[in-house]
Amino acid sequence: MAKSNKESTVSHRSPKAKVTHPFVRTVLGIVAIVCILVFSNWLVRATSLGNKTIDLTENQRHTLTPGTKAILSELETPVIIRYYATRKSEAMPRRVKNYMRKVDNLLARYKQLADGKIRIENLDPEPDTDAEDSANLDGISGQRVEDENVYFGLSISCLDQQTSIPFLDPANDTMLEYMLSSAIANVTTFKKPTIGLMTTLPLAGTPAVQPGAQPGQPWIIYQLLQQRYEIQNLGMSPEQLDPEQTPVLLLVHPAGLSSHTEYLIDQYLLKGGVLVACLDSFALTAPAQDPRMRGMGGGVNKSSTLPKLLERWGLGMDAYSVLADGKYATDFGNNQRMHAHLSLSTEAIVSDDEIITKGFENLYFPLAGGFTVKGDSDVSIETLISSSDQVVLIAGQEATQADSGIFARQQPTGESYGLVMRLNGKFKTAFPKGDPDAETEDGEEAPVSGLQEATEPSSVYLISDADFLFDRACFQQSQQGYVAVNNNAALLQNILDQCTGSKHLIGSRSRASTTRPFTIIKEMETDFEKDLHEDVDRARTRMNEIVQELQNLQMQKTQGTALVLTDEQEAKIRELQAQQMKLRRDLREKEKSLRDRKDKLYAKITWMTVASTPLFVAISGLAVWFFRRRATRAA
Amino acid sequence: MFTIFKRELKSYFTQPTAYAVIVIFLFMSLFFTFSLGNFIKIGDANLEWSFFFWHPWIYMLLAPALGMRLWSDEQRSGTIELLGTFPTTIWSAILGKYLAAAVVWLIALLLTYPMVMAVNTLGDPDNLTIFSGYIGSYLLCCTFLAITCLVSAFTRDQVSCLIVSCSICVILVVIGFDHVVRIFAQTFSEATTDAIVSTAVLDHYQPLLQGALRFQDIIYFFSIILACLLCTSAILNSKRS
Repeated sequence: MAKSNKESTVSHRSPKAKVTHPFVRTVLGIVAIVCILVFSNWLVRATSLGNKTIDLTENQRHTLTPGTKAILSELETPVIIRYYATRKSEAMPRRVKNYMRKVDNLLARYKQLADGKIRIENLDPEPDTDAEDSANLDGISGQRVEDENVYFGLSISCLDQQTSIPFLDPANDTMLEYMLSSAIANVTTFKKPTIGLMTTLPLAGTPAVQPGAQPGQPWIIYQLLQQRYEIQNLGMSPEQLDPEQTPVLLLVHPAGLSSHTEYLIDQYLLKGGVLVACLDSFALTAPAQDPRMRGMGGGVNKSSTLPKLLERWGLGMDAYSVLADGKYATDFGNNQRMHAHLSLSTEAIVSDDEIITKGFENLYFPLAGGFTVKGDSDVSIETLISSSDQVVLIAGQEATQADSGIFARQQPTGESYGLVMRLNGKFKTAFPKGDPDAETEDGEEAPVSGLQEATEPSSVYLISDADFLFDRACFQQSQQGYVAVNNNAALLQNILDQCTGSKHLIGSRSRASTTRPFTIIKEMETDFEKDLHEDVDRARTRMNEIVQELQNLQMQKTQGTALVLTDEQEAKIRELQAQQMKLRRDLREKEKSLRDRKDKLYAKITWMTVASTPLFVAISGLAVWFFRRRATRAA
Repeated sequence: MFTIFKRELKSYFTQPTAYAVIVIFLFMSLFFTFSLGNFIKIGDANLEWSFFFWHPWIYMLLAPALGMRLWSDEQRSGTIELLGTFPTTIWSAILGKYLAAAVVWLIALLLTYPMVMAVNTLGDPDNLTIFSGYIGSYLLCCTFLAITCLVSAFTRDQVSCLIVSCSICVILVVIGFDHVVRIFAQTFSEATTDAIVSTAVLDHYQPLLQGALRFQDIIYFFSIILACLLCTSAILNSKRS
């Protein structure tokens, strides 16, 4: 500082400086500073340095996941992202506009990480322009807002492969990164993904019973999978399982699996294959007999499991008992409440941010078994969907009939069972002694062969039911064809999508939601609903009792057929009406009291926040002013 | 510098100025949060939209109100001439005065702590994001204060300083506002619009509210503050000579 003053003094003395007016010098200095300011900001903004971000959020909202980074770093072929966004229209809602900036930033980060392998084309599809035609060709649908078509979508293409995200909904913000990464991974995979299928169920249809007869139709889920994947039917006794040829192996009710085949599956997993297994304790759809044998047997065992493998992974499954769940029982009408037919709601979904089950509302699992975690495991075990803890284990055959008294006879286990599980990690063999069927010619055991431990992490998905894929369990026929009635088909498709997509996306989670609701209010409302539910149930029970009493009275009225009510009946009706009124009044009072409690809390928070501190500062200011004034007067 | 800083800070709190500005700021920011921000109705424990969103609009009026006397007062009363006789440099005086005003704003911002307590009582907010929002809010306020400091060096009239500073701050806020950006987009090319919007404070303030501390935003705020203080120094030196 002192030095600069000195320099300025020296320059005053030099003959050249004398000709420059101080004002001109100042103006020139300011102009130079402004130029440096603008240039430095432009430079920082234009370079990657400017986008370096310290993510201060709890859930790392602004940091790309390792899966995305891995996909982008492995890109070999250029990917073109056509980004259609209506920017100039006033019809575009503000929240979408704000979201647009987030998408802009996200795409910029993808481009930066892809090291030149991603090209982004920004297009504004104004009406009657080439950009609008291009949007329509790419499958980007315009949204009608205030009589205008607004576009906000992405088309991702690589060579002749193309996929699109038709509309980027701000409500789907938590899924944005996954959708984009998954789309990039899909377009850069040039072959239809291959799935190996091993099943004892007639998924692919049944052959004609006799020449000229119609063969049985494949299940709808099978037809859907055929559209997306190359399905290899491996039979139940494949000679070998190679992850290079079939990267994903789908087992659907593998009943009667030999130890040798189980060993092959074990080795397949250790070599890096991904396994999806739908096991079942009582498969309703398992054919009782082989249609070609004309009543001569050849049926399929109702129970299927992977005994050795499950044990090695630290999981248990009772292969002959199904779950009867008091909470998720299905009501078939006519007092037919089937406890072993599980109608699962969102409460059964363990994690909100799990991509596989994201947005699921209902699933239907008829006669499903259940997995339990028995102890330590070499791999990570996650439960994606679970039963409630109001569960009784019953034999499969027993579960086919409605049994309302089951919970009176048997105590629930108090344990919730896994219905869909995911295992991740480096698996170890369940056959340390090698292939159990391998024997030398003289009957001695063969030397141990095969892998003992996987070199790379792999994944296993386990579902404790196979019937959930049957047509009637997940589809309904309508005029437009078959329509999904629940999320059963989506469950298998999502799992297979994750398994056949980039390995980096397996186990990805959606981003944590950016909104943080007032939990205290939610708790108050939940408690209130719980109280109310109990009250309503109590009142309903009481009313049923009264109705029953009325019917009894009617039965006792033997003389005559005239519909004349006795005094007793009239008194009962009056009692019922009075009780109904009381119930309604009570409910109203309770609702009012909840509102009052909420209002009081809000009022307290508002006053404490808005008034307390300003008032404190104002009083402090007045006190200082008062004391200073008194001190001045005294002086 | 430290002596000037202490003297200035003391003067703020021995006069009603700081109290008035702090009370008005607290009242306005909290009132907006609960009324226009619909804090209760929306029921979101994040403070991004309900609380921090209003700060630029409040600062653009209040920061100049606190900073208008920084140099205008000295010039009007002639005490600026005395500064030359003190054993200190102009730069130290600028820093001392500026930091004192910045500390007043820091106190004002810290006094909004009931808001943080309220969201922690009602829900489970992301406190790190809230912290980032506070950093953004404070940087924004310091930027407006530096602009006011520069304007006050030009003029000896406090009212003129207030009007001019407010106008500059309003422009910096408004050019980043959605409706205005839309007008720019309709009028200018995309590159020009982008260049204009990048000078707006909102473009650099909003990422901070969302918990993203970007290098470019930090550079933006600090470079404006530094440039304004350097320009103030240049003007005062020129006036002195």
